[in-house]
Amino acid sequence: MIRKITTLVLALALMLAVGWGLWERANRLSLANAVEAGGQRDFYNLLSYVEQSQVSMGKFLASSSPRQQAVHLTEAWNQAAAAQHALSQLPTPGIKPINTSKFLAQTSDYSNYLAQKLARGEEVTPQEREQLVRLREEMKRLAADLRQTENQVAAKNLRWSSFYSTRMPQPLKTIARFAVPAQAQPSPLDGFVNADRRLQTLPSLNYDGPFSDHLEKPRPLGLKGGEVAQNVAEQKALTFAGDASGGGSYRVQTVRTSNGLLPTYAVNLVDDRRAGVTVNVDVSKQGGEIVSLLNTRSVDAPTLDGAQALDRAAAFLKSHGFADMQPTYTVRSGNSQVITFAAKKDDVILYPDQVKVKVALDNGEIIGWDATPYYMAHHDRQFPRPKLTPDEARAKINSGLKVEGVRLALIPLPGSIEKLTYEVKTKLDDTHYLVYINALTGEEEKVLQIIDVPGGQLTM
Amino acid sequence: MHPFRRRLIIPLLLMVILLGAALWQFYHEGHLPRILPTQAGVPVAVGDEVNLLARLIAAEAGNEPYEGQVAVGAVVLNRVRSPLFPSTISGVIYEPWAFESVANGLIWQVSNLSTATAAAADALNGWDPTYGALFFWNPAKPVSPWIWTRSIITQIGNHVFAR
Repeated sequence: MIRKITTLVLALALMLAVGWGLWERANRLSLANAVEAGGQRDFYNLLSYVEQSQVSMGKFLASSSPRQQAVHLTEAWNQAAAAQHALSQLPTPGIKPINTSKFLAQTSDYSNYLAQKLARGEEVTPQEREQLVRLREEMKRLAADLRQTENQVAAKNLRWSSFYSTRMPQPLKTIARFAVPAQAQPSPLDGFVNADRRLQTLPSLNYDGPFSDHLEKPRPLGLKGGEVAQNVAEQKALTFAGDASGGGSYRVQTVRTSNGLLPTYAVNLVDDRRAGVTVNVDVSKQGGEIVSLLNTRSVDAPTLDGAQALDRAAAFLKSHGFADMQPTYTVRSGNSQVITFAAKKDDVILYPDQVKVKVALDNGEIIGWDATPYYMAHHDRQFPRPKLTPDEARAKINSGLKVEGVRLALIPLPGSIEKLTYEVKTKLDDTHYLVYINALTGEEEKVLQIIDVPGGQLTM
Repeated sequence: MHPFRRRLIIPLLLMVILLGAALWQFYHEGHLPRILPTQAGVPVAVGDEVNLLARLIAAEAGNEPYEGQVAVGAVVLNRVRSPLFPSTISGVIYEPWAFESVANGLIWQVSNLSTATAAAADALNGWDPTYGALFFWNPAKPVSPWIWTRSIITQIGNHVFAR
């Protein structure tokens, strides 16, 4: 009797286990198919966008009308960008095709730059044309490499979903290798590896766009003087943090050095009186300026409003030698207010030279400071006198917009270019737009839409 | 005890364990919180960006000092601006194997996002304690040897940051 029952229970358990295993396998297969489809989609998108952009670049070279040329360049710009996107989402384990990614992004950006030039009525120079011919040759080679990989994909030697399987434990792997000796096979991803290696050796591409090679490592223009010693930096950090908290006292806990685009001493301070309050202050190695401050304490319910916070921030800036700063935008972030200031010279707002100040709304303490943009960009500028009057700039605005204010502003454009413009605050329906009219030529340089975020406000 | 029954104990126990495991997994799979990621490439509003970034920060650097959390957010944003990486926040976060927490699903399991949300907001507001880092990793964990060829900027908490 007992024997019968146990046999029955065991048989039932076995059936359940087998059933569960089959069910799990079915699940796994449907997921694997979905992943495979995703990989295939990204791969074929990549291949076809690379081919298409190469064709569009060719059409640009074959075309003689600037209008058509601009159309083909715009196509190449979008197709190369789509190719970069597809490449970045493709599972290629063990390989980071960053050179291919950079090449596609740069080609896209460069096509955009040339299209913009044509749109402004300027001509593409022979050198720029030559540059595009070279990029197109590389694009063709990349397409050829990808077509080779496509052969592998079509022959099912390359399964994207297989890259996601869980790794076999080492002892099992060893046994498996005894049973089935591994043969030397070319990896299915060799096409990607070769293309990426070749694209690494491309000569640098310099033009007026955000991905130009000359912008890869910007140098801080706003730092003067030699390198300061660590103890000097510590002293400056202590004084600054004390001022920010309105007379608090701190002591140094740790200091680390940081060798980013703006080399700093990162000084970690603890509050002497308030337990658990730490402040991180970054002091630039060159010149010993305070680049950043972050107080990590949590902020309680507000007792100040946005206007009072702005006054605190402005007073704090003034007391630290930033005499002529203009608040430009303010946004509520939790229980604190973040205010962006831009430098001002001869009544011109210098947008590249920005400092952000974060004020805790519970007691008005300065809990954040970021002068990185300021020290990266600030220098003595000699800008020309505007040729247009504010009224002439106003007249350039699309007549459907309601103008709410005009002032002079120096704005940064892609490729580290700065232009003197009239900043015109306008309103279309219920949305604000900032339109920038070149103060020398009257050209419209840029349009910004102000996105309404809770507590965000443009101060103008 | 009957010798026959004694022989049965071990296989029976094994079966019970297996069944238990199956039931446990079944139960848990049915009850996993289903938070779906936003579609890559779709422009997201500012609020969505904070949420997405906060989730990654909490999963990648939940136990790191606050500065280290802001730094992880800044790395994502530096990648968005770099030609080496996708040009959207979601594209960067969900790039295959870009982040361990996306590969192992931790990003959908984190629950306490309060500090991470503040850190994400600071990063989106421009704070970057790494001054331009594109990579970070934990040197105590096994990582691809390739990553050590990047130029190291600094170490914050348990993470090394590099360009």
